[in-house]
Amino acid sequence: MAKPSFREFDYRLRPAKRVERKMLCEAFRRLSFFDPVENYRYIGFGSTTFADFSLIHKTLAITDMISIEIRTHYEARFEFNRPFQCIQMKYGSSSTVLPELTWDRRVIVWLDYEGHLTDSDLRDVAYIVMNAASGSMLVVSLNVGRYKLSQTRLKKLGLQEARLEKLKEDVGSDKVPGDILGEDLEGWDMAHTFRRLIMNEIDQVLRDGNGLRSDEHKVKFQPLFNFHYSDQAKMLTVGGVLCEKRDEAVLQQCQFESLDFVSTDATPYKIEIPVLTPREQSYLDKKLPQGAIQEAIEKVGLTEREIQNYARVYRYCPMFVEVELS
Amino acid sequence: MNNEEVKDKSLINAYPTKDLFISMLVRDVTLRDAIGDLLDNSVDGALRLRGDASYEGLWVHIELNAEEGFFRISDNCGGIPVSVARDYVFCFGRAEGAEETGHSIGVFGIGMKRALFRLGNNFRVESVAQDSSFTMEVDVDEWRQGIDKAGDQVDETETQADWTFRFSDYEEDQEEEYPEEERGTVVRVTNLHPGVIEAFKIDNDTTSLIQELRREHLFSINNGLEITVSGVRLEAPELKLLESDDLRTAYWESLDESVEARVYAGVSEQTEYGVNGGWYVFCNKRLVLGPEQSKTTGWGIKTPIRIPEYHPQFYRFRGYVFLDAEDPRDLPWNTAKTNMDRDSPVWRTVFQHMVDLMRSVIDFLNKVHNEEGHFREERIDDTPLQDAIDHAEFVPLSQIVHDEKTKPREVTKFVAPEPAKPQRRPAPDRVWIRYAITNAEYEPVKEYFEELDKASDIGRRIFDYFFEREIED
Repeated sequence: MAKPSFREFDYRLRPAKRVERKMLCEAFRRLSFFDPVENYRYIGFGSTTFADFSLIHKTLAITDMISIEIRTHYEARFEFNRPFQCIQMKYGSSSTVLPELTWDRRVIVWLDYEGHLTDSDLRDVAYIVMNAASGSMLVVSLNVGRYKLSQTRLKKLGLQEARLEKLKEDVGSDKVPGDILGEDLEGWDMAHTFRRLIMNEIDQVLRDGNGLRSDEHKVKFQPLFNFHYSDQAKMLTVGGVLCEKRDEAVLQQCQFESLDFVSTDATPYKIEIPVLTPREQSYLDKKLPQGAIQEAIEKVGLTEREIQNYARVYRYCPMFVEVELS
Repeated sequence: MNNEEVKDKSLINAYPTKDLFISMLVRDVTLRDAIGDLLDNSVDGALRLRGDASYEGLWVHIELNAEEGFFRISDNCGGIPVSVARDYVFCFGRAEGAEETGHSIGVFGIGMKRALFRLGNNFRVESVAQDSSFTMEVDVDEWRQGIDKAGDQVDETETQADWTFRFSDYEEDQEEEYPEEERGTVVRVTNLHPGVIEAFKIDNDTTSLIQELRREHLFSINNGLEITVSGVRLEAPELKLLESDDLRTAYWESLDESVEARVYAGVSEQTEYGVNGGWYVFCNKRLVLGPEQSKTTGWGIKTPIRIPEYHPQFYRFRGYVFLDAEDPRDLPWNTAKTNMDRDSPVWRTVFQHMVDLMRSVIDFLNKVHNEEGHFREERIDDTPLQDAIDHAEFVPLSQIVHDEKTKPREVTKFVAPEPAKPQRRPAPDRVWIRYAITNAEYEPVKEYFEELDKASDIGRRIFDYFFEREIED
């Protein structure tokens, strides 16, 4: 039986993305043990909405902000929509813009790609890992929905081979470990595979870069985020902190592990947002964080799972209302 | 059974024969490598004597004499102390705990022997050092066959052979020091192997030998060392890059670990003595690679940064890498000193920074190329990038590191001006001419304009040809 429509969001609102953004922001705040977070530089892809930029500027007071924009033909629109003076626009692909920046300060970089993983995305990751200072945060978001494969390719290779070939084509066959099969690109397994390739790239770049670093300057990558969510298309967000050995005590102080959405290994954190009415939301909010679940089940008629999902995300949950802007 | 009489049959005698040893040692060693190794030893001496100071007054003379059939290399670079000769120079491999020679080029304890075996059958080494001197003569055939001093053949497997050399004459711990000008080493090889004599007769071989030695020791020659090969003095240019306020070399250094690394990437139009576009990698001041234009130094790699294949368009690119170590074994080079060990952690790090710096220079050179095109198409009026190159000055590497305030730079990116923005379309009073022709028609025309590579340039020339003859006046 199809889901009743009242249990479905209008996915144009991208609720999970909104929740993710707020969760990341909460984690970013803890970087202050390295350096007050307002001294960081934020680098992202603001597009025309600049949603991440607005949130980060307002909640973290970061003023050194760079938005990379590849669609240079719409320069006027980006300039018009730029919400704050402190956001610098840099036009060009991320792989040309990143090397043009200076890397003398700590950064938070969110590479919020729209597509599947490609070799140029891996190069961006490599470049940042090579250049960003200890205490910098790197976050990468990717589409992990199923590949669109041409009929000719499917006929020629069959589904699994065609998927694998597409991956090799996109990221370069030298980046695809021999044990990855077409099946590993199915459903959420694609997210696991992409995460692995990103981690492989980070490992290699760090191994290479650490060769001439003294022990206390050797850099490691501490994974923190492994979000799986689906505002219609399946999405993956991975990320973490670069940290020199001598800064490990500082990293401990940040206590990222105490945030329940933090995942330091391959275990994903699924962002699932139950569809609730504003009335239901305010009722549950009054009971949270402890909450009497049984009572809520009886009184509101929600399932236990819906209530638990809500309890995990209620602090970050958007409430959609219509406003009249004049 | 009487065990004392019978050989232990479970025992395998794996002791190497000298024959095998020599053939393994000289395998893959070119004549050039052999002579290069001997020159390295002399240059090491200069480095030990003078360190970073000028080599003025020091010399190394190499003679290749096909007629009389000898090879000779002599120097006044300090000589080999008897103790070093005994414990190090003539030992195979470097003994554990052997005294460090400090920032030397000789690393693996095989260079000199390998070179001598490669050249000929008889060699004589004479050396005068501060308070010792020695002479040693070796007949390799006799040594190989294990003929002992009495002339009786010795069974190698029985005695495990005589793996020793003997000074024919030596003095040690002299109270009176030898005067500095007398200190030095003379190595003379006679009874040369046939291929070696042949090579000495071929002028072109000598010419290319000279070119390679000059490249390899570019740095020492520049620093005042006189090197001659059969009377020809090797000359080398001082390494310089173009610098100005607008145009600044990219630089990275790491000086805290046992290997000190300095990497420069910039532009230059210096081409004398075969200096060309590409990377130059020096280990303890000795050139190991360069001009390098392959994947070894990053050209054409796709990860972690994409770098195009080398192309003449990048002829202005110059990258200089200097790796220096107190203990030369820490340096990431192979035994022939002709390549880098790609698995070495040091090289991995240096390589990562090389490609990072090089990318910024290549971006600049691509922009210069585009600027040229835009200017030709009259889509821009100014050429700020070409102007920056034209106005920059050649600055020796040693002066580049120091900024204003003489503070050494750490990582600096390549700095260049912004290019002029080309107009999207040609000006309205212009017409574009486009047409296609077959390859068969095109090829002979292309050959006619041999100095032009691009079809668009050839098209333009053809139009001019017609215009000059039929329209103008």
